Amino acid sequence: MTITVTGLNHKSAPVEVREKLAVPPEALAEELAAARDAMNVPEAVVVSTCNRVELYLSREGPAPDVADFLAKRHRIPLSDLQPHLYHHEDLAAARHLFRVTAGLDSQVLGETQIQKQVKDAYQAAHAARATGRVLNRLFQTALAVAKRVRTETGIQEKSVSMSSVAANMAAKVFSDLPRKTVLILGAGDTGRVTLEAFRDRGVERILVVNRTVEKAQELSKRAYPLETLPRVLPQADILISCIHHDGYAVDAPTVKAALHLRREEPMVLLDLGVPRNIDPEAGNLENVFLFDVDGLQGITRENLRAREVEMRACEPIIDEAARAVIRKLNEVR
Amino acid sequence: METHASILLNAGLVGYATAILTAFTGLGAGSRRSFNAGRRLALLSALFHFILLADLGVHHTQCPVMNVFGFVLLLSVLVLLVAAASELFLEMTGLTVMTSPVAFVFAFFAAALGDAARTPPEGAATLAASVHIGVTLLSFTLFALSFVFALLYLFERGQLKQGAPLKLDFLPPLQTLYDLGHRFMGAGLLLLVLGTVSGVLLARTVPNPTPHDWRHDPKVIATMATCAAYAAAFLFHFLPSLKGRRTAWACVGAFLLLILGLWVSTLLSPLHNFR
Repeated sequence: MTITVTGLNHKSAPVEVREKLAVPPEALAEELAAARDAMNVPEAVVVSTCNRVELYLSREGPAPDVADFLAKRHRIPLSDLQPHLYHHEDLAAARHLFRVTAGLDSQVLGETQIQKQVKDAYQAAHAARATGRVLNRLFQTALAVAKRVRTETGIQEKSVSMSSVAANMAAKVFSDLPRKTVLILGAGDTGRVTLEAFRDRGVERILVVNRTVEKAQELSKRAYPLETLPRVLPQADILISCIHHDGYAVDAPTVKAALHLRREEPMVLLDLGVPRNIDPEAGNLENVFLFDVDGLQGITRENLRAREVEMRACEPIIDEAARAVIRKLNEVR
Repeated sequence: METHASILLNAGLVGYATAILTAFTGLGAGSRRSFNAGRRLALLSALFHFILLADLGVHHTQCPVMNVFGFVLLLSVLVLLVAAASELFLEMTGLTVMTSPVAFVFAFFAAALGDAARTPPEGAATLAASVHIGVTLLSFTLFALSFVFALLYLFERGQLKQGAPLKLDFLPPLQTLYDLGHRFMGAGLLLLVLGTVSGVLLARTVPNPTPHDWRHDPKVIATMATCAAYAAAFLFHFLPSLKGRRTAWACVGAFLLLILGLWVSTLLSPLHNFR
């Protein structure tokens, strides 16, 4: 029995090559059937995401030419495909799958979405009766190992996207974030993405101030024109600012006046604009916490570094689990 | 002090010191293992002191402590136990470790005082005495916790004001630290007032009071000063210009005044002057 993985990912191949091999979910069953027939293997799983396409096989006989199968199946010249492919067998294949599922091979280290993607790929193969004893055990162990990595290490603890970091900073100030009011200044893409991060944390009360009220209303029914900002600001516990403006859109006296009307209740100001929208002097006010793009990016980088450090704690878990599963599979054979 | 009591006392002190060193070194190095080991060691040290107190005959019925040594050592144990309970029930990671320096300081203070002869003072074996000492003890415990919350609040606030990556990012939100500190302070103040009232009732039961009345008693003066300081700190929160950082600093100042008052009043007179 030999377990193999052949594929490419965001590190080994550009998106133009990856997209040619990509298999949509509705075509997985057909792809699996084609792989098993062409290469005469009893078990196969295809993992196809925006960042990788990998073919996992369990075989007993001689090694099939997986690269040739992929090239013919997806109509890519083998010479174009071969340089981007990687191939692992047995222990290395198991280790690779466990690392992928735990998010250690992802573009964003420690991301959790890949775990669901691997689970979906395995379940699709299982439903298509393309898996057996070997790949069933391998993929079930991969999912268990990913959970273990998540609970025993801090690899997934810290956010590594700026919008999540911004929401986390607000959550470090306010214990009851869902009950807070968020004011978003500007209705562009950056603001929208950050607003989603707050919505994910349960924030419901959202005010939008923008030059054009119609565009603001796409984000919230409570939309106001730009000139009403001094009047609306006191209602906001959190301000997300990302607007194109000459000079500062929010100056320190405006924030001070808002604080006074709020009876000095704390405010979090997230300045996502470049150049900055909020006067840095506002950050010196007593109960104001100001985060600009540089600060948030610094926190994001620090979090990524922390995840990289945590990766060292993950490798022994993965290695031990990979050895155990290969040993088990060889014993049962 | 008997040998085994001395061993328990010193084992607890060394345990606290080691726990603090281990936990804070672990924090700096990002080692959860060291941090958790420090927490367990701090709890073990509190256990040593608890066993010592039980051995000395401290119990809940009638005057839980016989002298200032017992008072301060029991305070040390209570501070850590309440912190551990808060960590568990309020899900406040790291609170036990953060409180262990305060527990250590109290334990060290007790060791410095030494365990004097434990002849019960007059009027000690009464319900009034138990209530007075027990309630005062609890109030000091809550003040110690509010001090820790205030320090953590000031630390985290400073970090957030810088807009930089957070050290101690396991700390709860700023608002939580502030609210808990304020509530513990309020509860401590209430208990201190009750302790003072029960002390007044106790004083009336003491036979043959000396000419030195309570107005010149160092402990009473220290308690009044502590009460006033905490009342001011508590009320700061309700004034918009003083809530937040200034309230936290007032809480820190009030606790330092409490420590100073406890130390000075104990040096001047181990128990109340009016016997």
